[in-house]
Amino acid sequence: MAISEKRRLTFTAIAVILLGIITGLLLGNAFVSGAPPTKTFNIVAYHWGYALYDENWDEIEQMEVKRGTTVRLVAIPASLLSQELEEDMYQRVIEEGLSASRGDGIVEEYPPGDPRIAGLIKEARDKPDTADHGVFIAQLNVDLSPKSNASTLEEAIDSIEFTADALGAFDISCSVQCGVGHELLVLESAFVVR
Amino acid sequence: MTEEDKKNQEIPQKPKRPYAGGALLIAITAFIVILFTGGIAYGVQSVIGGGDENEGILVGGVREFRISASQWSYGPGIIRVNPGEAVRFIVTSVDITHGFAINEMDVNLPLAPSGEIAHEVVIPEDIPEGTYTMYCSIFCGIGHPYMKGSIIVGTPGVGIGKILPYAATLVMGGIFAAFLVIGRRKAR
Amino acid sequence: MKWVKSLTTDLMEIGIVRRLVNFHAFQFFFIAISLLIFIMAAISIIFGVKHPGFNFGMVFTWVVWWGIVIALFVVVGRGWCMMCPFAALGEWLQRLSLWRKREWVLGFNFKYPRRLKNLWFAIGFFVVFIFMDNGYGISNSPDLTAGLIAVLILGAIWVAFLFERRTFCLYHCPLTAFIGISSMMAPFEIRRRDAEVCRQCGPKACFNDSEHAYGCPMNQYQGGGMDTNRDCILCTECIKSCPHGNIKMRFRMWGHDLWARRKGRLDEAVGAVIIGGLVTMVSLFLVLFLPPLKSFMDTILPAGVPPNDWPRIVSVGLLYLGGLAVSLFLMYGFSHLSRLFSGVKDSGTKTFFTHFGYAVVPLGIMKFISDIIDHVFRTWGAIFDVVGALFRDFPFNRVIAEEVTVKQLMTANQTYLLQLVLISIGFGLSLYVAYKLAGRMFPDRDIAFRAFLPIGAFIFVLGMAALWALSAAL
Repeated sequence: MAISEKRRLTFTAIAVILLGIITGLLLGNAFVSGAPPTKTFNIVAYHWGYALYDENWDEIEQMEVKRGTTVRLVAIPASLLSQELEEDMYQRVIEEGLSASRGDGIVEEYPPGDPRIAGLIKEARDKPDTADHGVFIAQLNVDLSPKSNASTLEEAIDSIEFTADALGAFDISCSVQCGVGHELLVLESAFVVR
Repeated sequence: MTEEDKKNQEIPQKPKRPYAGGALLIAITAFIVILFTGGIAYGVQSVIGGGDENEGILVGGVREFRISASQWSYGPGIIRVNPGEAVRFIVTSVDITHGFAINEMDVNLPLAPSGEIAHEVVIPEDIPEGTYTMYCSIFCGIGHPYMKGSIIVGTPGVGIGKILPYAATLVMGGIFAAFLVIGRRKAR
Repeated sequence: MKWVKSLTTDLMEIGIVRRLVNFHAFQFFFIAISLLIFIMAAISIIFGVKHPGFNFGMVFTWVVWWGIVIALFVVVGRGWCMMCPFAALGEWLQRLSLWRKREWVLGFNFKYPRRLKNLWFAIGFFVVFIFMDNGYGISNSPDLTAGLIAVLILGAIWVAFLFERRTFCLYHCPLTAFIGISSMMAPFEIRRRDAEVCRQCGPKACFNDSEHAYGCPMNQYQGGGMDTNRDCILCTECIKSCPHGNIKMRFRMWGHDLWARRKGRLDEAVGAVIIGGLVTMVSLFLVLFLPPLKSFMDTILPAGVPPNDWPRIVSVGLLYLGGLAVSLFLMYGFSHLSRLFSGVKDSGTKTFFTHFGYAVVPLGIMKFISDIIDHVFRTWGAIFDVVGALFRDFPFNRVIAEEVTVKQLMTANQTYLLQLVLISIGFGLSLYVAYKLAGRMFPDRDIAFRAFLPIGAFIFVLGMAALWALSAAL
């Protein structure tokens, strides 16, 4: 199908304009996006484990980032949690069960639905957790110590900012001697870098 | 061919006075070649062979090596271990992503910039003495094929790796000489 | 078997080959495969694991694809160009057709300016690109690789809309100098059969568009006797368009095109010496001088943060450019010796340089292959792990391969031995090319031999640089 030169040039001009728009969008995107935003995570260490939250305080199972992202980890003591979040935590314990060491090396398993859990939770409510726990990730040089007994928010929380360069899945463990159950305070593959 | 034709040719068929006899030219060529080869071989040998063997530090019964990887070498580049030993490699990259791999010891660590990786391995008791290679397993640029280091296990003699380049130099010298001989014969 | 002889006389005599090549969709079939893999790689690079060793796209681009491109040099020549998806995208948009011939093309169809019709821009682009790769680690970063791919695709389409045919492939692609000059050593060619038939041909359909086929997208004129593979992308459009069936494909001696030009071209000779010097002199300089130079730069330059750590970038840049400069300088020096030895007074050294530069190519390519083979052998197992990880999260490739298998195919010594064999083959072939080039320049055998001597010496020096640089740390 032959067409006139004029029509051909018109189509060409349209194609070139479209291409120009696409090119402009792509280049603009490349220059504007620039530095990737910092991703913030909140970590709460409580008597029996770690609770992970994203920056909007929605609970998440795992902290996941792309390699090269700047990450900010904020560790908060359990005592500072709002009532609502505290209830969420207890709810999770009921659903998932827990293991706790009762001293002298004996570990007791409380599977989900175990009636004794309710008793443990009541104990925790009456005697709020005042032991300090740590948030420790060995390979990434993360060692945070939130303070349960601090008077101000700034003193209570501990945070760190770093670039996630190393690939892999990292565990969080407790770096502060917090009494019984210290060794069990481990969350495997809590921090994942893709 | 007339005299005119000969003059009009771009390149003269035979120079009026040859620069020098053919044998002399071959000698000059050989001399230049030997000069360059010697320089190159000497330079490379002194850069890699001159490094001292690093024995690491014994920390609690484990032989520890701190190795930094950069474009395009490892420092230290030559280390020595013994069969049956527990060895810890603490490796880091100072510029971009590299790898640290030792095939025979099942080691393959990805190195991100500014991150240390510690890896412990036990050198098998029955591993044959010799020189093994730690090499970069992640493409890191034009120098990637040369990013290698040596791990000497036990006290081996001179490795075949040291002899190979000399042998290859002789082989290539032989190929060149063959060309010279055949060329000279055809030229006569 | 009759078809065996056809391999070296005319592959088009073999029935199945002729039928396949005459399919208008023949090239599209290959492009489709490479486009598919390319899309998988692109998705993986953009969305997947951000690591050059674990990302499917990264490994397949910088190890597998790069290896295939170079391996094809010694088999058919510009084989990659035939299936290149970037060029194809530009060409499909330009032609508004996947393979069928249409009456008109989209685009302004400008002729490329005659003054720019050389490899200088392409050579410069190639040198800059390799430096950027080593300085900023394009091949080490998925984001930079993605950026490079985007720039190449956009570039290909823009040039396709502005200029005629495959101007991008001829003069702008960062690979074209490398792939074009290297393909001159390939043992394969597509050429016209009978010159008389071409002289009598009216339409010259191999070059001009005809009713059912396009003319050569690389602006090559088979009818006038295309002399080298430098610009032939093996698309077989000329075979399809020739009304007399006067075009043949065949295998022939390696290195043939390197001595086929009646007159050497300076851009090609410089390109050839740069390609050769890149993997010989530059490698040697990096092995010998990088650590001390970098230590020195650490004392006088600000430290910076990778990838902007200035001591490293400046050191690498100096040795890289220095190595290339020394290669060109040495070639010039040995060309001068060649002129001296041969006793020629009225041709300048530049003539010798231009004539003999091509001889370096076989050694350079075999050294490239040695380097790539080492990398493939070192991370052989990783390729399977990476592909496995891709299929566990297809197509986004966000799953890290659990374990990257250490499965080096050969030990370092065995690999080195293989590399030596390859380098020796390249060395011998380069000497042979130099020999043939000398014979073309000087009908008198005695003078030809004298002219050959210093060129042979230069090739020997490059060979030494290659084999000793690789011996480091064995």
